[in-house]
Amino acid sequence: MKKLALYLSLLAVIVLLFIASLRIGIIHLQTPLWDLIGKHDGIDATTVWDVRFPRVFGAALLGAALGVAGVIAQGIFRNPLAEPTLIGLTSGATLGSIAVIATGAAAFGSRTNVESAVLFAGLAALLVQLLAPNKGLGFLITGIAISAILTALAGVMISISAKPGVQSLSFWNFGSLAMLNNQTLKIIAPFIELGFISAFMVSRKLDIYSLGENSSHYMGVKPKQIRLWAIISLALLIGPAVSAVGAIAFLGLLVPHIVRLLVGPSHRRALSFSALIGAIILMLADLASRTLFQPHEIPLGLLTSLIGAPALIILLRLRSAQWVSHD
Amino acid sequence: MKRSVKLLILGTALSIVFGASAQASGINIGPEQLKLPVVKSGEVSKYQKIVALADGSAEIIAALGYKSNLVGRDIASTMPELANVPIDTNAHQVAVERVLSQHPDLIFIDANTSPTSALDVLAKSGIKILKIPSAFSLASVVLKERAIASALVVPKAEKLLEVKMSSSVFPKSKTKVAFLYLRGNASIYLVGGKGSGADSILSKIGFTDVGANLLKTPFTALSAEELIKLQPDVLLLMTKGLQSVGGVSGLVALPGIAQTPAGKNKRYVTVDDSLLLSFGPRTISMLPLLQQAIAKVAGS
Amino acid sequence: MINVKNLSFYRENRVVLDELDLQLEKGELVLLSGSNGVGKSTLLQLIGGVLKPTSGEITINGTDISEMKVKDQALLRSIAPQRRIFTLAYSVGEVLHLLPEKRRSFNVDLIIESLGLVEIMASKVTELSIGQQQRVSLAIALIQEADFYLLDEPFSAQDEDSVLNLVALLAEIKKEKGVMVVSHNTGTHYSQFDREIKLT
Repeated sequence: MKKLALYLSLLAVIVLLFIASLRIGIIHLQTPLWDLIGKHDGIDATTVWDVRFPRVFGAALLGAALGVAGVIAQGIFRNPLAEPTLIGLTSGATLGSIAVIATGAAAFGSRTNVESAVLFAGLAALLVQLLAPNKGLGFLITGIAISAILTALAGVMISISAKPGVQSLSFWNFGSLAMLNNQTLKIIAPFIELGFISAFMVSRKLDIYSLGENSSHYMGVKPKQIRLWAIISLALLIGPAVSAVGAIAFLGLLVPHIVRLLVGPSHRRALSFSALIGAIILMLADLASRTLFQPHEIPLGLLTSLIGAPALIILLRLRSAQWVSHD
Repeated sequence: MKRSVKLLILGTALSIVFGASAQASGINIGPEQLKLPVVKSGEVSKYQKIVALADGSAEIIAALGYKSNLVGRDIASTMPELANVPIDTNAHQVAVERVLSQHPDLIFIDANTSPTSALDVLAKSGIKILKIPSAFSLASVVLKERAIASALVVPKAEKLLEVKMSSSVFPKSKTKVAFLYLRGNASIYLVGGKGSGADSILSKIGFTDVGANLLKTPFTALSAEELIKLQPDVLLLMTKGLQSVGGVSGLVALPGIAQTPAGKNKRYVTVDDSLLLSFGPRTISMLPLLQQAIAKVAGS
Repeated sequence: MINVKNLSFYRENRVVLDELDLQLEKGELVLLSGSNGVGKSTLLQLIGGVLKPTSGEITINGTDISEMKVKDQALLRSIAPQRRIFTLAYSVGEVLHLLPEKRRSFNVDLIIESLGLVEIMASKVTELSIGQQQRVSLAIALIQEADFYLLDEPFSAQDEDSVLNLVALLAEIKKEKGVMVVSHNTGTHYSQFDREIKLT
C-alpha cells in the first residue's frame, strides 16, 4: 500500500511537471494551455505542440528508458557501476548513429539511423562481454576501454565527414533534447516501447540471476540466455535515446540507486519505479537546461552530471546503495 | 509501461500535422554576380610596390584604382579581378621570403596579421609597415578607406567609397529578417544579434534585423523558442552554411525554424560565405542585390 | 531416478572423476562423502548441468540431461550450491519467493520453520551471519519443487542444533523425494542416512 501510494505520487509529479514544462519557456503564453488543446495555429499553439511537447514528452520517455536500462545493466552485470555508458552500450550507439550519417547512408533522426544505433549498442555490449576476463573489475575496465575506442572512432568519423547532420562530438557526448521534434519521437518511441516490454519480461529472471550464475542455472534460468535478452533490451532502450539526443550521463547509474533505496532490490518493482524516477529527473533537468540561463541552453548531459554525480556520492556515503561486493 | 503507451497515443493525437508545405523560395548571391566598384581620384601614389596583408585591404586598394601598384595580397581579398596578384600568405601565416622577394615599399597589416615573428623580420628589413583598422561593419569600411588613402598620400581618394555608399539610398521595408550562422557538421547553430555585422547591412538596405532588436550579443545559440519569438519573414544565411545543415530540408528540421513565417514558407536568401561578412568595396555592390533578393523572396 | 553412468570428467587433462556410476532414487537420503578435492562438488555441477561430462551420461527419470532445457532440468532436480552470492539486499522473505508460486514446494512453511528462518524473514540477506546465509541458501533450494534434492556441504557453517533440525527436515522430505547430501563431515548424524557413497 505504501508503495502504491509512492507510485501514484510519483505519477502525479510527472503529470504536474509535464504541464509546467508545457507552460514555461522563453515565450510567455497569451492563451491558457487548456484552450490550446486541438489548436494548431498561432505562435502559442506551435510553441506548445511543436517545440515544447516533443521535448517534454521526449524527456519523460528517454528518462524512463535510461532509468530502466540502468536497472537492467546493473542487474545483468551484477555490478553497481555497470552503467550503459561504462559498458560500451552508449559509445556503441554513438558510433552506430554517426557511422550511417557520416557515410551518407541515412539522415540524422531517420529510422535507419536509429536501427544502426540499436545494432551497434548491442554489438558493443557483446564485445565487452566477450573480451572481459571476469565479471568484476576486469569487466568494467574492459567496458571503459571499449567505450574509449568506439568514441575515438566516432570522433574520427566526425572529423573527416562533411555530411550535414553529423553534429559535433560535444552534442553526442553531452546530450541535448534541443534537436528533438515530433517526427523523431514517432520514430524512436516504438523501439523504446519494445525495450520496455523486453526489460519487463527479463526483470523477474534477473532476481534469480542475482544469486550467481550456477545458482541461476540450477533454478532454471540459463545465464547465457538471460544475458543476451538483457543486452537486447538495453540496446533497444539506449540505441534510440543516443541516436536522438546523444549521451546523457549518470542517469542510468543514479536512478537504480535511488530506486533501491525507496523500494528495495526486486528488479520487477525497481523497473516501474525507475521509469518514473528517470522520467522525473530528466524532465527537471530539461526544464532547468532551457530556463536557467535564458536565452542560453545548457547541454543536458552537463546538468545531469552536475546533479547526478554529487547525488550518487551522497547515496554511496549513506551506505544505502544496497550492494555487497564479492569481487 | 502502460503509462508510456497511453502517453504515446496521447502524443500522437496531439502532435500537429503540418499543412501542405510551401514551395521553397530562396535566392543565392555568389561572388560572380558582383563587380568591384572602381572609383578613381586620378592622384599618383608615392608608393609603387604595395603588399596588402591586412584582411581585405587589397580589395580597397584596387577599388581606389591602384591595382597596378599591388605586388602581393592577403588571402581574404578573393575577388577575380585580383587573380594575377600573388597571395603572400600560407593560409593565414605571412610568407616572409615571398614578401621580401617582391621588394615592397609599403606593407599594410591589421590586428589579424600573424605571426609576429614574421612582422619583426619585415620591420627590420626597413620596409614601411602600416597597421590599419579591421572592418566588422559597413561604417568601418569608411575608416579603412581613409587609413589606406592617407597612407598612400592620395587625399582626394579618402572619401570616394564613402560617397558612393551614402549615395545609394534604399526604401524602408516592414519585412523582418533574421541572420543565421550555421555550421551543421560542427553543431554550430547561431542567431545573429546586435553587432553580428549582418545587422549593419540589413539596416542599411531598409530591413528590420529582428535578431539585433532582441539579442544584445553578436551571436546567440539558436533556441527554438527564441526564434519563434523573433518571427522572421525571411532568413539570411551563408551559402555553405545552408549546405552544412543539409539544404532547405535540413534547415526546416532545425528546432523552431518550421514554426516561423520564414520556415513555414521556406523563404531565405543565401550569400557566399566569403562575401557576406567581409566588409569592403564589394559589399557596396552587394547591397542592392541583397535588397532586391530579400524583397523578392518576401513578396513571393 | 538420477542415474550417473560411466561418468568421467577431465579438467585441463587432469582426471577429476573416472568412470563413476551412481544412482539416487526417490525415497532415499544418501550421503556422498569423501575428502576434500575428490570431485564431490564437481559431480554436483555435472548433475546440475553447469559442467559437461568428458564422457559418460547422466539421466534423470530416464532422460539424458544434455537433451533437456535448463528450465526443464530445474523442474526435476534442485541443487544448493556450496555458496550463493547475495549481492543485493533482498529480505529473506523476498529471496525465498523468487520462483513463481506454482514452482514452489507445498511445505514451504515447514522448511522455513525447520531452518530457523521465521524470526529473520524481514532481515536483509546481506546483513546475515554466514550460518544464516547458508540456511537461507538451503531453503531456496528446498523450496524449489523437484523430484530430487542435492545439497553441497549443507552443514559446514551450522551448529549442532541446526544440523539436527536440517537432518530431520531432510528425513521428512525424502519420504516423497530423493535427497543427496554432499559432505566430508557428517558428525554424529550418520545413522539418519539410508546409505553412503564414498568418493575416492
